[in-house]
Amino acid sequence: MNHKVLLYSLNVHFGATHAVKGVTLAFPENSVTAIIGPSGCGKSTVLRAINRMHDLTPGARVSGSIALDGTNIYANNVDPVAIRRRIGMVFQKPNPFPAMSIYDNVISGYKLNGRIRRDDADEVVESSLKRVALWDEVKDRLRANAMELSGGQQQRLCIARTIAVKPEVILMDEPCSALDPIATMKIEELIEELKEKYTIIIVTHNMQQAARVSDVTAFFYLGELVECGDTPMIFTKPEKRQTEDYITGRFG
Amino acid sequence: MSRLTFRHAKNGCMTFLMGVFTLAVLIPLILIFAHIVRMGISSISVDFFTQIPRPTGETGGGMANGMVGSALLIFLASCLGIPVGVFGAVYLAEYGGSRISTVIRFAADVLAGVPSIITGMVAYALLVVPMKGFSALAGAFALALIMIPIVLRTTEEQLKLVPVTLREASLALGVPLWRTTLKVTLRSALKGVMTGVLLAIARIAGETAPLLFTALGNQFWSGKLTEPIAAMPLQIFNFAISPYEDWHRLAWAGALVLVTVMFGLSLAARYFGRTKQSGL
Ligand SMILES: Nc1ncnc2c1ncn2[C@@H]1O[C@H](COP(=O)(O)OP(=O)(O)O)[C@@H](O)[C@H]1O
Ligand SMILES: [Mg+2]
Repeated sequence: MNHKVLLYSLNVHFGATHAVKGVTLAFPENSVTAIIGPSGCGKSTVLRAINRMHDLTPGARVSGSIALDGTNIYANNVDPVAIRRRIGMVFQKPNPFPAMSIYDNVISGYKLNGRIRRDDADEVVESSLKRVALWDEVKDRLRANAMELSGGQQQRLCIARTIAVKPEVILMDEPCSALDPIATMKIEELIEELKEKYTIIIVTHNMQQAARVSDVTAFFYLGELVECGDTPMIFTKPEKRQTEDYITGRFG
Repeated sequence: MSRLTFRHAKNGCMTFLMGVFTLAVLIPLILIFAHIVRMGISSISVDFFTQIPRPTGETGGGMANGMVGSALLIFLASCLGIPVGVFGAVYLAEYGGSRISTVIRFAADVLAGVPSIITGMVAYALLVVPMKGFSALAGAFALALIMIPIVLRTTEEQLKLVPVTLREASLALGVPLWRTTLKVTLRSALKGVMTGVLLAIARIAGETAPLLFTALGNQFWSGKLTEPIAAMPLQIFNFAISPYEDWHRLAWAGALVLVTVMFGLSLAARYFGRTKQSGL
């Protein structure tokens, strides 16, 4: 399997805090990689490094390299905006644009960047909403405000908005932690489907979820990568003691 | 038992005191407004809104030129003050955190505290002297200087209230920072920004001192922005200190109109401030 994204001795500092320590890790293409670990271990920080979100945090420093299809996205001549178009992100709390309708939220990536032809827009909205299995629920009220949707629907809308701009990689930072079990199940089914087209990296604190949705699992502890491997292996026969302790619930 | 009685007594006392203080705040406002209405209402007529002042000795006339002049001054001042204030605030809130932003913030606070007569003198030195004459432009410039810190600080506060998650949502879609700032952050803070703008306009609508040696005032219509121009507060001031009974009446009427407009602006500002943020 190809490696879509490759972290190589990645370090992230926030001022004096060394949040991510020399992580080298590969994310295979068209599969789901779960990042697990106790809170504060740097999961979000690693994830946000992958689409250069730290660029805008004062005091944040990223070193090492991250390759996307073999090209270092931290190289000097790389435009972070172009990278973010190829690497989309879904956040912990559903965050649709509150001033926009459902329809406009789906095409927000285009609208905020300029214009989109009406026909194209209709087509993008329908196909994106169908992909996230939201079309049937909202097709009669596309002009309604996005905030009228339930939390789970909002999160699927956010995923629709992300895939509408046709990224190659989708980062998800605990996308279900604000959702109820049924909405969570729907998102998990969705992730399963999305991996056919996209490379997915999901942070989760829910180990059952990691076991259910991911092909590969990476376990982080105190900013370091402890262990990474095929999900069934990590959950049944982890190599490291720390991993085993965490998975069996002895800490974390 | 006795302690409970004491507590009730204390409670009653405090409630009474608070009522007194509330009244102490309200009474001057009511007195001022009532007095202005009583003195001014009889002189409000169609002429007042359509005529310019008559020469001394003649009765009648109005303040039409002052009202139009004030509106024009406010418009011109807004053209400079609102963009500078808003974009200054955007810089502080979105790209700040550096030493420059500390300096800008400090400068804005100092500017806000400068007596308005000094602002007028600055505009005099910067515009009136080089242009060799009093003008609407100089007056508008002086008013803009007063607007800028008000708009800047209120806008900055509003921008800070926009959740980071909204900005990140936009950035993560591959929208450049400047577009995100304009179309997401500023858009979400729009109502709060409007409140700041309205309060700033209400503030400059009544300013007299900065116009004294900039716009100067004019008994007639002015044809060019480079000429002295009439303004409501100036006309009220000039008429009030004149020895003519008829001008005194016009001054009261002008005061009534000005206070009513400012009252309206404050209400509108409250309306925008009260309803939930447009974007949120
Ligand atoms: N913007 C920031 N500024 C300073 N420190 C931060 C920032 N973001 C994260 N950190 C620190 O980095 C470490 C890892 O945080 P994070 O990646 O959010 O953990 P996780 O997602 O695994 O719970 C924590 O110690 C946190 O305090
Ligand atoms: Mg996190």
